[in-house]
Amino acid sequence: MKKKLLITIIAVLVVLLLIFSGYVVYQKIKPREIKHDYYTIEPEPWVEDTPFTDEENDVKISVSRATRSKSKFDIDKQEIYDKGLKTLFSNGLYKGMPLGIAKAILNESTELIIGPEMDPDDGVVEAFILGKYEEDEFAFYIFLDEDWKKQIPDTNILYANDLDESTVRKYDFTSYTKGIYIDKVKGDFDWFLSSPRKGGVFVGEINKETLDIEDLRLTNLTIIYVR
Amino acid sequence: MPMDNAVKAILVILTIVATIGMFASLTSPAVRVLMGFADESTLDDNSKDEYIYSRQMNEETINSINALLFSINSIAHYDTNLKTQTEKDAFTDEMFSVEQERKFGATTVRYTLSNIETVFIEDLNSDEGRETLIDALIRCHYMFEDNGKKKTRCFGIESKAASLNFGELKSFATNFRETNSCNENCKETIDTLFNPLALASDKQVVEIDGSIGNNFVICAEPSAGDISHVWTDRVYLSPSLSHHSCDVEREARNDDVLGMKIEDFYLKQDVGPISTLEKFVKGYKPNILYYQMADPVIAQDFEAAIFTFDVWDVIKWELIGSALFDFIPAMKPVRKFAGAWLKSTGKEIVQRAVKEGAEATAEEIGQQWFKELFQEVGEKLSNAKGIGGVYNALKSVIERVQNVVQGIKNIPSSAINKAVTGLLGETGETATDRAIRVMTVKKEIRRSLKLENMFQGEFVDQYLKAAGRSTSELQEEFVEKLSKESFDRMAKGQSGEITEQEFQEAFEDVFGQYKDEMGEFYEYYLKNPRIVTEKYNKEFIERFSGDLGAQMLKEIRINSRIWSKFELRLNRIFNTGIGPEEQLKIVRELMEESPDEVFGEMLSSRNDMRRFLSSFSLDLDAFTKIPGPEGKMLLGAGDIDTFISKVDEFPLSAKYGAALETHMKDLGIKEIVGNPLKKKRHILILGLWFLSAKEVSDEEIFHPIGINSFGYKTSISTPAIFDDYLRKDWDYNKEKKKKDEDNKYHDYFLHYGDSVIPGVNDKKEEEEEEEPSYEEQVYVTEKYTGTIPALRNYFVALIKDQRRFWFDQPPDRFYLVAPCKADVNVQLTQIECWGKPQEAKKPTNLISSLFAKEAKYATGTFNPLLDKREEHFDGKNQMLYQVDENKDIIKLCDKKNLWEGITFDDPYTPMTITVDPVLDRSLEMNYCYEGIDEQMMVANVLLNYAIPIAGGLIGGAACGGVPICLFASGAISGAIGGTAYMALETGAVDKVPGLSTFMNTMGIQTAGYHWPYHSSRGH
Repeated sequence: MKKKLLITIIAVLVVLLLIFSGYVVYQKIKPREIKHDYYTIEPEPWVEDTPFTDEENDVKISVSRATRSKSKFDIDKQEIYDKGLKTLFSNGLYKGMPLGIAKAILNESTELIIGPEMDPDDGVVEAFILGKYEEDEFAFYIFLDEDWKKQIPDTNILYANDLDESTVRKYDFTSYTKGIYIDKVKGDFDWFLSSPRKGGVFVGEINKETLDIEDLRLTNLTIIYVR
Repeated sequence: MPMDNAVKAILVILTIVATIGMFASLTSPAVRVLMGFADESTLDDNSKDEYIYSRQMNEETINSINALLFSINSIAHYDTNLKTQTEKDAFTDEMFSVEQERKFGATTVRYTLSNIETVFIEDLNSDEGRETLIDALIRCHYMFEDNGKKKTRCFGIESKAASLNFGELKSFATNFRETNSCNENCKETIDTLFNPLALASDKQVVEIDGSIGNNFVICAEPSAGDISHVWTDRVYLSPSLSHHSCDVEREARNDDVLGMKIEDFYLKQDVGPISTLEKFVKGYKPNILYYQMADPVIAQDFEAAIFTFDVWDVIKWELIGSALFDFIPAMKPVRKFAGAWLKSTGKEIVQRAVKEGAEATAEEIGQQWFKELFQEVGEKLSNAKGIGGVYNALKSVIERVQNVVQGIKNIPSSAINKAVTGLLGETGETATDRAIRVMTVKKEIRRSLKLENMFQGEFVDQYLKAAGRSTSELQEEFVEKLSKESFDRMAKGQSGEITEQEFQEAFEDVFGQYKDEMGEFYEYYLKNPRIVTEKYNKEFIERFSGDLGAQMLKEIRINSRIWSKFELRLNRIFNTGIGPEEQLKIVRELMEESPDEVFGEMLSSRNDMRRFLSSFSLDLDAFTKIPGPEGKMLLGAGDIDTFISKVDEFPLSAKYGAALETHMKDLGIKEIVGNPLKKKRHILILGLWFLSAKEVSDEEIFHPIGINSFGYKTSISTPAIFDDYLRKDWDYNKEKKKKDEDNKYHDYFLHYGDSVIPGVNDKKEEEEEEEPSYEEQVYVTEKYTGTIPALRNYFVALIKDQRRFWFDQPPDRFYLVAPCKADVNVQLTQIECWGKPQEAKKPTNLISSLFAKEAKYATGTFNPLLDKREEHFDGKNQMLYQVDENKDIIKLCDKKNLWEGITFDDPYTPMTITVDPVLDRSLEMNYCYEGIDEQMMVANVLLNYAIPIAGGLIGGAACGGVPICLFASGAISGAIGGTAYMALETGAVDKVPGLSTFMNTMGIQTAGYHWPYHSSRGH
């Protein structure tokens, strides 16, 4: 009798163990349900609210979200970890004044800020250029805020692997979300793989003739770029 | 016999530099202990105590330096040499423990493979900080689900203050759920992450696993991913990426970028109470670890800063320099240059300007004059009240300056130019000039030849003696050949340098006859090293080609600069034709001065004196055998003994003599007690050497040490160089035959420094010896320090303050200043450099020399100076570089010069290993690097710019607007403003009269230290 009971208990335990193991295996192999579409192909969701800041309209372009966590932005450069390290350096000038000087003296520019954090209607011109691999090509997404459009409605994009053979076109202010305009250029870019860099992407009051100006401080131009 | 001729040829060449090696003896017990060849029990009791004190300080520092160099080398190796993922995995698996750790004493190196997104949280205890953390957790859950619920690396959190437990976190998340900041999606995710129905932490999705500090990571893992949570998914907060939830599939983690975190990095230094007046005025010199060379501006900043502050050095001649050339006392390079120039030419100027009696030397007059002047400034300022008082004090001083300035104005410009282009500050072919120029040329030769071969020089002498030719003959032939043309030109004031072409021509003339045989010999030697070894001196070669050779080379590298000074000093005393009386006077002056006068406060303690002396290994008898420039003995035992015999009793000061005598005992020269003549001779040599070493140490805080080298400069020695010469037990020549780079460096990294791989070799070490002696540690430590060749393709940059101010830290000039206690992040990145290759612009006169440009070359292009192509990295990582005085490459990275104009020039973007120290704030005196905070920026503008300029204008007006007078008064105001600024830095505000009131009026806090004044953002 005792023996029978023991066998029954063992049998029950074995069955329970089998069920448990089955569950564990099932958990391992079951197809995963994707609830969220966090990483998107479309750029609009990358423009995220920043609910914790004081300003309601503040937004942040999530570099991580746009690149499936393969990139980050730090101060003035975007690092891309995709088959080795690639880096895009941001810079610009506001009405002929180099951004670095304002940064150096005030630690921030009161007129122009380049980076993923923006307040679209605070009177400060804000812009950001984000680079990422898309399929076999490379794309640059250009984010400009409302203030930019108000101050520089006539904005161009100039891009090239070699600035001697550049392409210029108008910035398309059609795509818009949360106070931010989005345009992009895509192509066979590889200028960021060489040193020194002969190419880049420039946005603002720029055309091919601008490239010949010897000292841009003597102009009144506003331009941002990645190189 | 062709072989004999070939040997003769190569040995002749080598002997030119071999003489330096003669003093690199390893016979001294003290030196042997320092080098790790002897036990500290051989030292006397007093020495032992002092030794143990410094040893404990050094141990931690050496471990920290090793940890840093290991990290930097590993990243370069991983990125350059390891081509496949299999090789990369094998490297991290074998060189680190399962916890991804490697121990260097109390310092831990942990590798990271990801560069995951970093979230900065200023204060985890604040609402804002916790909101940011909750947001990161929510996002992590989104990312996790979006990845198909696979293991996901989400964020690295960097916070300044962390105090967190699960209860607090849950409580905050629950409250946050009810705020407007949390939308429906957010509410739903919080409910998922923090199970409201369960209190126990193991029933939650969020889990804090392990002891998390200021820095931690957030990773997510599906249910049943780990046995402890089979029923629910988990979002983990854990200390490092070694957590199981972060062990993601390879393609999801960007493993090809390796980073390192160094915990408890500590460059130690005995700082003392810097706020005291004594320290403020005298200062101390910081120990500095730097790569290749320091940025000249930063080097001068440090030299002129409080930490190297010597009142007379800073103000006596520089002041005239500033007055002459500009009103920009804040521009230290200009001031420094002017000061250096006036130091050498000042005699002539002051003689003309002051026109005082002939008895005192010009220098004495100058010093006396400035001494009085600044005494007056001090007195007046101590009574001055407010800005008005400071103005009045300055005004009277400025009036005194006017008289001298007027004198300076009368000097014809031709005289100034002559003095400058002559460089030596004296005209005419005096014996001193001859000595100087010969030594200059010899120095040039040493630099141009391969020092590493010099160990063969010992049997050169024997060989040549047999061949009937003396080494010094050939040496002199070369020197004279070189001297004649170059110095003729120099005497005409055309140029102070020996050109490459001249050097090569002279070399060809003297040694050309052996050229072919030399090549043959090298080939033969490389093919048949054993035969050559056996033939010439098996024992000798073996001794020097192994550990001792490397050790000796290190000694020579460190001591060669001191040697030049030493030779110079000897020449000035014994080889310039002055009589015995004059010689005696010089030596007496030298020896009678108190150590405090000679060496300053830094070396006044017996302990410091001994440490300083112990830094050098000297064979005193060898000094008497060194051939001099005139073909005779530089310091023949006969000459020196004749001289010494005329001295009845050596007038040594007590402290000075005691230190030298003790050191001689340490050196094992016991017989000196019984031999007064020998004793005096040794004391003289040691004293001269001591002074020379001090002189070099003062001058060359940051002398360039060449590509791929780290130098650790302490206050009492020239830099100890950490480069590949120190890899004693790792036979590169043997290993380099291995085809793949992976295997080539396997042993190098496996045994790097005195390190331990926890769980792998720690137990073994303990079994062998529980507590390894210090000398063994030094020995073991030093044998694997240094760098690998792959590193030459990278910059090493301090990243710290580039986060805020683009101008703070030049990316191509890495340095860390002790004391430095920090956790250090070491990562691979790219930097942006501007500028183009350019040819050198030689200065034609004093003013243009201020703006002279040195040649810059681009890698991958032919360099005529080096006569070779300096390959760039990987065919695409081109960068700019210069060639330094030792013909070493110094990599360059100029920031865009915004003031010169903005153009579309093409930037260089070389790969860089960045070092980012996160300072330990519990250490009050913690330096690491020079930073800036807002208060100090304002103070800087006020004290270093506004006061000098205002002072200059006021003073200029007072003396009728004469420009040079304006500059002079600006310079004085600059010195005062600068002094006040230093006081503010160090917390010695109350030592400067009126400063506290003035600063408070300007809204600047004066309480406490502004040192170190790093970025206040907490990064």
